[in-house]
Amino acid sequence: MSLNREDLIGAWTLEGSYIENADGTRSPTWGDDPKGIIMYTADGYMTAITRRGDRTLPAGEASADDKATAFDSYLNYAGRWTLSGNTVTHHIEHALDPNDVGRSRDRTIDHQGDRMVFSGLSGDGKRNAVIIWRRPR
Amino acid sequence: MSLSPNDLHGAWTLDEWFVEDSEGGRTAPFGRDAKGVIMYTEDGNMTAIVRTAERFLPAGSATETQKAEAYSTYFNYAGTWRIDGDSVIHKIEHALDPNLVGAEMARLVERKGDRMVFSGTMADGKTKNVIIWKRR
Repeated sequence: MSLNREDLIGAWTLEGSYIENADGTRSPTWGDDPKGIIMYTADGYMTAITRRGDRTLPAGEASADDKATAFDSYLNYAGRWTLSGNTVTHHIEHALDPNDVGRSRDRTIDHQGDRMVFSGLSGDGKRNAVIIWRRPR
Repeated sequence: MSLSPNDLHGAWTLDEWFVEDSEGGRTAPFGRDAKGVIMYTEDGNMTAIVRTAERFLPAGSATETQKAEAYSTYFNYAGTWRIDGDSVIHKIEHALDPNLVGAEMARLVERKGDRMVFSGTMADGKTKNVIIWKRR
């Protein structure tokens, strides 16, 4: 089923994020309380944030270790987006991890009304990463 | 002429970010070549990214110090937005710095053709924060 750009445009809230292991088990990406948002604008730009729900940082005097923990518990990127069939491609121009800049991410979308389920390759390039989004109520 | 939601919808690229002291002296916290984007969706959500132009992290084997540097050279939050007179107010729901979650940021918006200029007062109450965005 082909998607229309209008199916994606606007904001979606993260409902779940996990990696499917070879033995069928699921490894949650950001613990048991993941949070996040993805947005697509009509003029062709997108951004995604996914993160742990329990992040903290000492205000004002954070140590390098504190900042590294904040870095490791948060994912953010932004860039242009294109749609082909039922696959959206994110062309990354800004990313918290600078290694992602210039890369693109393909996500196959199973669109289910007020939800959409992304499938794509996990960071190790071997497993399926699943991200579930729903329209904010 | 007050601000309309249509004035903000879509994506904007960072043109310039500087901080101005009471004597008019300017500093650029992320350098004069800082990069970024701000987006406003029609369903009431927004996000902003501002970062230094040259960031680096060894893939796969970064140290805590290198990750802390990557953290400190990147600014990001997202949430909902509304207009109040000539200001836009961001209510933050996600932020790289978790201390910002729940906060509201008000920015006075001045439109100049394909640019918009945000200004606000820094936490010290004296220094002026100026962010200039241009249409992509």
